Amino acid sequence: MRRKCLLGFVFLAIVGMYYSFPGIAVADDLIVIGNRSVPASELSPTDIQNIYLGKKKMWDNGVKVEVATLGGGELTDRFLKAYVKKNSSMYNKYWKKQVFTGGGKPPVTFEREKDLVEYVSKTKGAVGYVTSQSYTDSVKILAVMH
Amino acid sequence: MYHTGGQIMNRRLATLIIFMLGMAFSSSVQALELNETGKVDIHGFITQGYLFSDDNNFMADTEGNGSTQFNEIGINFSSDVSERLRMGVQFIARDLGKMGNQAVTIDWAVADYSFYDWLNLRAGKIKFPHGLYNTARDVDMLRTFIFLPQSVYTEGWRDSLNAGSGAGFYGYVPVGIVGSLTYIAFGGNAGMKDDGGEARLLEDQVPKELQLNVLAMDTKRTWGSQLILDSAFSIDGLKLLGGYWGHEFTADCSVINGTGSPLFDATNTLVGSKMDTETRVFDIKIRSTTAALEYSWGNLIFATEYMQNNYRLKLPLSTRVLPSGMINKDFDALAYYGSLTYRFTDWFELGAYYSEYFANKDDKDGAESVAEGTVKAGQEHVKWLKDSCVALRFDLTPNWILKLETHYVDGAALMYSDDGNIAADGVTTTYERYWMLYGAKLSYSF
Repeated sequence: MRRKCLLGFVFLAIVGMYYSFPGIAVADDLIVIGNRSVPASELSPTDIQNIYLGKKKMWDNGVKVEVATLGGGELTDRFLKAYVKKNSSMYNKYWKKQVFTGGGKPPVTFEREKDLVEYVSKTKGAVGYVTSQSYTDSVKILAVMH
Repeated sequence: MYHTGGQIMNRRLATLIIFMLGMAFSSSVQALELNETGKVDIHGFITQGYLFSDDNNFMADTEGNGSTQFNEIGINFSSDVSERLRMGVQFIARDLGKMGNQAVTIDWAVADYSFYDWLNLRAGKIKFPHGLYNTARDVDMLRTFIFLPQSVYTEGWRDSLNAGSGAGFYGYVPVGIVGSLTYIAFGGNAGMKDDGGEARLLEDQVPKELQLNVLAMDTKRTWGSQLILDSAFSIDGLKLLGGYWGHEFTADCSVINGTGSPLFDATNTLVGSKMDTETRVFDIKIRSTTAALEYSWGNLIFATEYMQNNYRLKLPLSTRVLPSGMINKDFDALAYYGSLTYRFTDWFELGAYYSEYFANKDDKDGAESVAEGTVKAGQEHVKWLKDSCVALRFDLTPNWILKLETHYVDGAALMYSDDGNIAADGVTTTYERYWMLYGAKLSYSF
């Protein structure tokens, strides 16, 4: 009986694997943007990681960091993989953990790049990422140091 | 109008459920704007589980028909009060057999003030720093498994390990190629219920014939600390953790006294006649050391933790009452596990772990406990718990999650005799050595 139950779980696991291999994200050009109040003109990859994990809470001038993300898609996958070192699933889980343990406020999420740019332009201390085509001069580009 | 405690509790629970359902089905539940200066974020979860075991009762009446006394309801409110101050509170009602019983309690309530990235102050009822996953132990949707490995995250210690009232500091410091270092320090008081899991485990530390009954638990002090190194040694996804915490508490206990000397014969059978009960104060100190590693590679997560708990128990009982081995105890419990999870797609995740716990690392086979009379011969397996677990997680929607889980278990440590693990004589604790536990759990979160 016990062996049958274990075999049943293994069978379900194999069925799950068969239907479940993920696709590969296609890279797209992206830029990191900030509100004009952001004192930095460039960020290191570690800075970006710490900002998007909620560890870096304040800019050097004391302004609070406000984080904006896009709600999924290839650009977000690429950004998270390149700078935050997490995939979308793990990143969402990370912030759910913060939300349910009193660890912090999750990033503000937008479906359209245009809306994210508008939010960053109007929000003191805000930072986000978009494709270069969505850039407007209402925000500043934060160069990424490598 | 007069209301019983149960009626009041049920009304509070009903209010919480109705409020949560209202929030869950409203069109905009992520944030409720209260005024011009801030927003209040509201999130919540509801879970319902089912547990079934072929032998032994695990945390509830699981043997036979199984148990549905396994659920959680939680809701939290948080807001940035100012640029540097964030406040929040989470209420929770949970049930796991005799624990929780759906009483609404504060899960955490915290004021968090940020001076610098490397220096943040927290005060209130704060999630306790223990291991990789303790702070999120109440939040089912954050993990693959229904039960975290019981060796390190025993349900019996949930009340005192979940959160403590007090204050602490935390912050992060980049340390170059070594990684990103986070430190957490907490000092305060972790509440223990008089009839909670810790009290019931204490009652199981002495032979049932002594009728030990915990009357009151009083936590003297609790502290915890952790160092966490993310992207350790420039390896993306590698997290290393070291932790140290302590609990000091007393327990007022009633225990039978007796006549005749000794009370136990050569086979540690109670032979003295019972007279009455008397109250004694037990003094318990615990120190815990944890080392952990987590490595994430794509959708694969490997985790392993090693924990050693030192227990110092002073039981002011005469040698007539207890076998001499139980008067003062200084021993180490040993716990470790390894787990592997893989997310195959947005909706399916598979996980497995193997976990071992030894109540006394110097008495792994329980022989010493039998010799001193604290464990009956043939029940040595109450001194260990070896658990092999396989879990399936299905994310039905971004909000709904279904989990199925099976455990093959050798041993019965960290379990409760009063969950129904008593022999036909109504006194003797008895457990089967090998047994299976099955679980299913459905959860909704927003």
